[in-house]
Amino acid sequence: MEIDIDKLALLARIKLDSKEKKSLQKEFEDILNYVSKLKETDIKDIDEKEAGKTIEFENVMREDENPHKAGEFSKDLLKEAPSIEKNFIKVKRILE
Amino acid sequence: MIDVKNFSIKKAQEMIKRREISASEMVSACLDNISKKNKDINAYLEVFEDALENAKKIDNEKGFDRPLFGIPFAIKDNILIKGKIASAGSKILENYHATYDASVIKKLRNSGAIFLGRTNMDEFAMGSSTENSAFGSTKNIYDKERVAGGSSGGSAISVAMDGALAALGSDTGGSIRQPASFCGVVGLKPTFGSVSRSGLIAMASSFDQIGPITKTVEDTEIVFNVIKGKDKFDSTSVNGHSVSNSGETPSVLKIGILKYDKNGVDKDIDKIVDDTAKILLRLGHDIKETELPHIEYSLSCYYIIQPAEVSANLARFDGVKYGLFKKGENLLDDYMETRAQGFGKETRRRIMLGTFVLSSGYYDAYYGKAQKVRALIRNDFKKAFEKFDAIISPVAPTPAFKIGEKTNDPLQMYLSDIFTVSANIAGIPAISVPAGFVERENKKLPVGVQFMAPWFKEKILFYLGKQIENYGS
Repeated sequence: MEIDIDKLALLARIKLDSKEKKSLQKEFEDILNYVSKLKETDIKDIDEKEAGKTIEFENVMREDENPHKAGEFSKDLLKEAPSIEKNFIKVKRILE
Repeated sequence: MIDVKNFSIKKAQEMIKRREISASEMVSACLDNISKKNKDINAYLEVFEDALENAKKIDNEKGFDRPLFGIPFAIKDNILIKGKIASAGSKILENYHATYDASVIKKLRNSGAIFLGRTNMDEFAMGSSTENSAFGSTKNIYDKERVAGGSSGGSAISVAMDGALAALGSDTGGSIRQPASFCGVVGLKPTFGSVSRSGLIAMASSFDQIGPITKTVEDTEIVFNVIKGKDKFDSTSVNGHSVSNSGETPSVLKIGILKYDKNGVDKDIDKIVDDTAKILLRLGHDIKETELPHIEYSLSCYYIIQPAEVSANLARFDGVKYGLFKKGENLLDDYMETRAQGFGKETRRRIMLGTFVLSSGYYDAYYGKAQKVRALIRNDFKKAFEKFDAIISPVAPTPAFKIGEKTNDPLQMYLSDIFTVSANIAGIPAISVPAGFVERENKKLPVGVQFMAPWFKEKILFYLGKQIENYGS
């Protein structure tokens, strides 16, 4: 199977050099060949709701109240951002 | 000075309580071992400067009867401790300081634990050998040419080399149990939902669980009882234990030996599983072979769903909010450069693979199918646990392998998870307990066996683990 590595790299937002693209093409073939074993299984009786489940979950709800104090965590969080201006995270312009 | 080798959590706690030793003495002894051994072994990425100071503070506090009072812990590098670096073994988070405590850290802190440092791991916990760490691999103390296992290899070795009395790891497909087996220590992957993941750097969220690595099963039980329970910061956490762990464990259990393909499993590993089963039989348990018809699909199922979740979870690393930033020509280029230089090879591979299985045209054939096979595997366990109280199997098909042996063949590396992933797929608890040694190139290497139990029945794992541990001693 020919996989469009360039398109995937763009979707994944990772720049790859041509050597890595080539080796991924080969590794994907091996891995996808191995996992294609799943085709042997019969899944027609599996309910969509059962798919992917581990334990029984419940919705967790809470009242929208008692917010934390404005700015309580801002200083710590901003310290970790690569680029800031005053109390804002600075990013490149996205609108032309 | 105290010889850490002679101490379990249990014993240290009793002596600290009687004030026969102090927390600072215990911490100093561990720090001494770390300073002697870590340079070669690379189990710790960082030893915290305030560890001894915190131990001294604890010595002046009251509350000696807290379950982990003065107990030195090693913490996997993907669990947040406020103010400390948490890099998840990645360049992209090399200088990231945690802005809050993980819920498990809060619980350990409140129980009196002391944090010695953060331990090495495969980048973002993806790997089975710690060779995917951006900061060098961890070596095994039983043979320095061999891996410690992974991804929690640093945590397992920190305990094995007496550089801590206990460690926390995380287990997504075997990352606590496999290194525990390779390093001769006990490792527990709790039931999905039983331990809060708030403050664990997410990898594959439908599998990830935090769990203890210790020297004895009793110690694992002590730590588990501290960290378990519902947490308002993790809506997938539940209080499953209050119901299912009430009542006594019957003294005679029905145990299934997992039927598996013996090809690809070392003969002496098979023998250790058989020998363990014989011991259990001698102890009066009822042992029968059990077949889980869909278990052979576990690894395929896992290596579709896991990369899919990875590709979504790791989308947050964009060079904007925190972590590494590499400048490009425009915003898109910023992302492409930052992620290319910040992520290691295996991480890039899994994100790409995950992007593929989720992409339009392939979603149903891969991700959708795998999610349904996941239900088949879960149903297999449900049925098996109608007949059995626990299932025994190998932890890994081999003992610790050589550094570099599998790094060029990702599929071979993935195959070392073949016995552990099914517990993560089904969400059930599983433990690795030391069960013997095998010899490779004149070196004795430890091997564990795995016990799996029904959802929230960790108690059964502790019961069986203690029996194996105490047998013959």
